[in-house]
Amino acid sequence: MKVSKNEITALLQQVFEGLKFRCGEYESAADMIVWAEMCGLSGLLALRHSLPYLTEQSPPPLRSIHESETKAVLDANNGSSLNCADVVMNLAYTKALAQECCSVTVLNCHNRKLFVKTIADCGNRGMSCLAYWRDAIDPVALHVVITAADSDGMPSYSTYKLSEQSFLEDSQRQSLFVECSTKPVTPDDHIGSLIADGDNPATNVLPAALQNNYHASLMQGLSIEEDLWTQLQALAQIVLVESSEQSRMGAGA
Amino acid sequence: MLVKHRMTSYPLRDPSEVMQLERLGALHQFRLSFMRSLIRRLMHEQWEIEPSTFQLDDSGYGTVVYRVKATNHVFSFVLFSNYLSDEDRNDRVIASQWDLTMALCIGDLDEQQVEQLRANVPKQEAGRVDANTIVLSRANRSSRNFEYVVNELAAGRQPCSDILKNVGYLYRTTAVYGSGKFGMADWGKIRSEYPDFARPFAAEMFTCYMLRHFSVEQAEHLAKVRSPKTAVSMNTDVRRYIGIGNATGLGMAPYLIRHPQLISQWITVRETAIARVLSEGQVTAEHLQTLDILANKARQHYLETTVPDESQTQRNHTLVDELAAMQHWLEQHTQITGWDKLTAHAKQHWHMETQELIHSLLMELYPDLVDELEDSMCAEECPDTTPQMPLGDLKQLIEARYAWALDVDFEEPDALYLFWYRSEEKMEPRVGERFSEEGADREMPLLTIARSVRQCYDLLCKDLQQHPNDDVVHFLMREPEMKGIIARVQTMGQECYGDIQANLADRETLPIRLLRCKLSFFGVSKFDPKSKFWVRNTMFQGAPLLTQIGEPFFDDWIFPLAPEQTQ
Repeated sequence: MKVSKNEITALLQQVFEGLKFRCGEYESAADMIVWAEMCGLSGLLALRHSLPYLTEQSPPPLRSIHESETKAVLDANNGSSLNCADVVMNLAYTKALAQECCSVTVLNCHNRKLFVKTIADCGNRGMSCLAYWRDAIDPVALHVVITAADSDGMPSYSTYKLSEQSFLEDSQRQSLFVECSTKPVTPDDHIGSLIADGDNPATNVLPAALQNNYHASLMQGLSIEEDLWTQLQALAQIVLVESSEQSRMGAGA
Repeated sequence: MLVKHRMTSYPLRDPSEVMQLERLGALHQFRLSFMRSLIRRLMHEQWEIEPSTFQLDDSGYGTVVYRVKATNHVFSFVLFSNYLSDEDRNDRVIASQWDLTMALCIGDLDEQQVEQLRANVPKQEAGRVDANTIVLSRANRSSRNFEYVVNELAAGRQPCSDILKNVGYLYRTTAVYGSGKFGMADWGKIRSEYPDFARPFAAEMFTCYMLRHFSVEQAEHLAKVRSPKTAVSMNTDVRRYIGIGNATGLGMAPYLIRHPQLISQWITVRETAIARVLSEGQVTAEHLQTLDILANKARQHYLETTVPDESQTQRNHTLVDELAAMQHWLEQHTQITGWDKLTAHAKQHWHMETQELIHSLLMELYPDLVDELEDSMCAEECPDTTPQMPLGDLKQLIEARYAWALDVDFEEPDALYLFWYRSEEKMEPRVGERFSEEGADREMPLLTIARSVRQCYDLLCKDLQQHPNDDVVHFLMREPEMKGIIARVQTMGQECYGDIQANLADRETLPIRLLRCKLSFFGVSKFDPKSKFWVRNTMFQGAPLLTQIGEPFFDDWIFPLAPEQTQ
């Protein structure tokens, strides 16, 4: 079925509110999913995969493991990017603003693909940004997102095949690396030594393609599977209050 | 204190004056209200609107489609008229059947599309439409008025003005949905691709305007069916006096809080228009005379506005009296060189409603200064955190822009007496009493800005003692619960007018003031409060008719007056 951007965003906000996301978090979480879906990056599929892990407990806050002027290592405590991506990118942005360049590593973070909107937002703020992470299921796949400063909010999204020698350690299985800079960033500096087959990506989605997908979704609506829509609607009920004679007294027209 | 805004070099009124809820609840329609802008557009651009299908049976039930050829695109306004028993006629959001249901769609419609709409539009919230639909709405008859008007026309008479003064419409809308609800086109699509409706609520207002047109056509159709030999059409004057009723409830209140940048923009545009008039509007004898004529019309309009609510009636009487006082004052001050003398006098001596009505009247005198601002009503809504802001700066920002919130004493139970929530009945927004009703655990977050600001400020002050040189992002890592309110404060801190300055949890809060504020921007008249939670009003009363498109247009339909009785 087709839904509009506005109604799926509103529904997701309500779902996350019910799942005890913090104020401010549930809005950005909804935006991250909807934006990714509209750009053709399977935001709703990522949501489907994450739903079983989202409970009615407030998610764990980020924990700082190490921090210097140009570097930070954070632990997401096996939480979702839906809860922490904003803060991670804000930290990276703030450090880069002060020092021209910085890197942030996030450990134990799930749904990393949903980081893409926040990386794109960095471009809107006049900052170049690169992020990469190893696929959680396919151990030889590396996801790389790059956004240029003032890029109209659209990054490029590529996947590469890792060389056998450069498989990341298990401790980095759920990690994500971000570099933020006031100058252009290039993938070679970071991943050149990690990947096989030179620097040819296995897949490569350019900013224009993401923009086209986004525009088409805005014009025609987003496709969502009915069972997911129904599931989300049921979850959204959590925030509703039972009706009573007394409550009807507090109602308008 | 006067503030300057990037949009203009004119001195604007201070937010502490303008954003008080009491003043926002005293606003009246004005030249830039959305109905006024819409009518100017379709009259100036001479939109062509004709029925392409008019299939009503002898009871007035059936399907009508109007083809709307606007300047840039063609649209279709589709209307389904169905039987509704008197006992099922209910203006509440929770109703499930209506006399009329309707949709505004993009382009011409084929039979299949109309069938698809017929299967869904009458269900309203329970149906689904697609991104080709812009607006979904429904309306109920004003039973007594509708029957009366049909009977009069059938008997060859025009309806009596005195009756229309009391209820100036044949139908009441009970909801007008747009912006992507139920699968409809998103506002982003309309704004970027359909310039005819690319102003806030333009498509929604147009839907109500079309409903008004249909309501009279349907009444005339039924009159002819009932008495083909004697039935007459409605006179033009009477027809113009027929508007559309509207019932607005709490759903509109959360909208104002959740779209603070948009609301701030609307207020900024209105204040800019006022500032332009006060700064540049030359006072000539002609202007004084026009203002006097307008004031007479306004007084008559409020004298003719009869509502059951005693408080509103008293306010209408006050308006009439104080407008007369204004006219008297102007007679004594014919040599004034600027209107600021009048508005300063009004602020000192007359009620807020009168002060704001005078602003509406003054804007009428200077269309050249005001009307071009109608294209500035949109806002990009992008709340954003400024993570690098030093915590000390954030504290100062809160103190400067949210002093009104810090002034609230939340130790007083009355300051938190109310909570806002969504009911399981169609997700209807409701207000409950915190200490006696269930549901406060599911209070709508961020709707009580003042309390959130206070919580944030207290945490911030404590945090600053330990981290005096830290920035916002590190504070957020320690206090992630504050993310929403900090984004709000930082975003609205950059806006000229910022947040509405009211604690909506306070026991004495009158939500109806929020409704009144938004409705004034819509351009409605004849506020008829039914409780502190909802209000009836009239839309498009006095507006030019579809049949008058192409005729000379005078944008003077503010303060509609009952037509003189002619038989």
